[in-house]
Amino acid sequence: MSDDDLAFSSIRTLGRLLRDGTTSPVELTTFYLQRLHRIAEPLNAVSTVTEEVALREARLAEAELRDGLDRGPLHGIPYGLKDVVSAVGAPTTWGAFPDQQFTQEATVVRRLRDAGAVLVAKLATIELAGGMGYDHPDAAVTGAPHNPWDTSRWTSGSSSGPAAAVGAAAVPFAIGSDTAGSILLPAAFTGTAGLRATYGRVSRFGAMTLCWTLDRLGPLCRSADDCGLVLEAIAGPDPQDPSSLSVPYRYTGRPVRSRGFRIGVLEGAGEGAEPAVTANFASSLAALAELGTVEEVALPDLPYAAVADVIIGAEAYAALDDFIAAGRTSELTAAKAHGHRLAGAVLPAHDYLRAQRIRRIITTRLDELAGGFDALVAPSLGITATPVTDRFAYMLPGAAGQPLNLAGVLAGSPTVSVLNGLDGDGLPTGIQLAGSRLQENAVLDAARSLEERSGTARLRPDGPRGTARQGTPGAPPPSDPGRGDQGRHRAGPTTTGGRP
Amino acid sequence: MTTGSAGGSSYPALTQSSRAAVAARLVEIVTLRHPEGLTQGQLDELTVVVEAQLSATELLHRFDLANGDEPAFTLPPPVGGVR
Repeated sequence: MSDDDLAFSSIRTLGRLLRDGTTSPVELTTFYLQRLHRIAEPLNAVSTVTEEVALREARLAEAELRDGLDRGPLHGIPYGLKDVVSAVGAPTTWGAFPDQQFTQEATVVRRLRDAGAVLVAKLATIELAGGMGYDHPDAAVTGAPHNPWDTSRWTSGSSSGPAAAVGAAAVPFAIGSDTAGSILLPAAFTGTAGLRATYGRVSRFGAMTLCWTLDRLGPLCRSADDCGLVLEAIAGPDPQDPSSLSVPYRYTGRPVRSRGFRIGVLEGAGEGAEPAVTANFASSLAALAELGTVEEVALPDLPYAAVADVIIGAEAYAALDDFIAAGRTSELTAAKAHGHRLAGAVLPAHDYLRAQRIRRIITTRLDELAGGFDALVAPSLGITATPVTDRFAYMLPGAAGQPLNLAGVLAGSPTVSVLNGLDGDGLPTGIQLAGSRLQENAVLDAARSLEERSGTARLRPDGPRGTARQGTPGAPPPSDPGRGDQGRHRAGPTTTGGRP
Repeated sequence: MTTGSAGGSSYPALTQSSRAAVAARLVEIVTLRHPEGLTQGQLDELTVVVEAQLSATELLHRFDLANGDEPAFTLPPPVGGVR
């Protein structure tokens, strides 16, 4: 197996290699630490490499596995953490404050440690998770994040570092955060699998708050199956997070479905998208039709974007009111952020409450619709990754796929985005599968079956200009995705999913 | 029970000119809260967002809600269930 084949392996494969002695937690951790330095740092995907913590945790995992203590699928598996989530022993910069440190670690970090996972890096984020406004990829102390499929493109945000690092196989998986698309949209741009689980599944304790009623943490991985494995490790009730659900979550040890899915495709889902997005979405629908039924459905006509904008406007101001009111937004990199959230000071409480009242109706209507299906599907985004030098419109509905994304955001329901093909320039496209609340397994089973049917999870970036190839065991290792020249520039839309 | 629907609200709508006047006053209020002064860039962005905010809330006020329609936040049951 080549180094790249190892790096791009699934969590299950890595677990098998750890248990049959092909590699060890320390060897694997050292291997990914080298890739972080060599590949992810040039992509501006890294905030801090946590080398000391990583090697300590890896040695412990090695000793435990050797002594017969097996903590499950993540034992000995390295991972990265979006730098809005606190971990003891490293700064938690929120993408803006290089010296910021917390003494309490996040629940998600503790849970991953309990599962035997190894923290190898804090990963880049758009400053303050993009929540103060930004219209340029270069809105972080780490600089503009480059896309491993083509380094002249960006990753989308705000989970830019997790998406780039997983996309480049500098970590097997990462934890991101999502308020209105910050897991889903970077997953689409970087050909990774991103899961936004049901609101309350994953404790946010220890993570930066942008919007209490919308914020979620979740995995970015190489596949839907990996997302399920990670979610099982991080889900569960937490007394330190009042929003956390008391219901347990299991992904492993249950009957897995691979056929008989009932899929609802949104009317006009591919309209307005780039031709490659539309074509790949049509191919995905054909594959899904072989796995079950596909029928067209209409998303209820409700004011998703207006509700989301008002809720985020009010809560983001409240969550960071001392920072904003003190005029400190002018310290941020993005010029847009200097004035963007000031408007929250004059957003009436009754308007915020009206948005939340309509949100309940949105939730009910989406539950009714999604409850009749295993998944509702649409393109994750109507465009492929845009140039890293381009400005874009922030908080605009923009490309196709956004209504279903925003409906899922507001309803607190699960959505996974997986790679479903490439465009003519070798850039990934994504499909989102959205389900009813608490029905992650239906969505993940459908996504995994689609990946297996179409073979898209084996696609990976190959070389500095982003020419993709199938991962084939024994194939010679490609050159590093983060190296070389700055690749192509392609004319394209300037509107991307720049939501927080 | 939810009864919301688009288009049936009797909440008074702002005219184009009154909306512009309201936006200008709201921007002025924000500037009063920042005696250190705002740059032209901040004022430009603030104005854009205040106007967008008014458009969004105006849209929401065209959505009919019944008196009993509750906001989408309630206190969840305690972790571990009711004791």
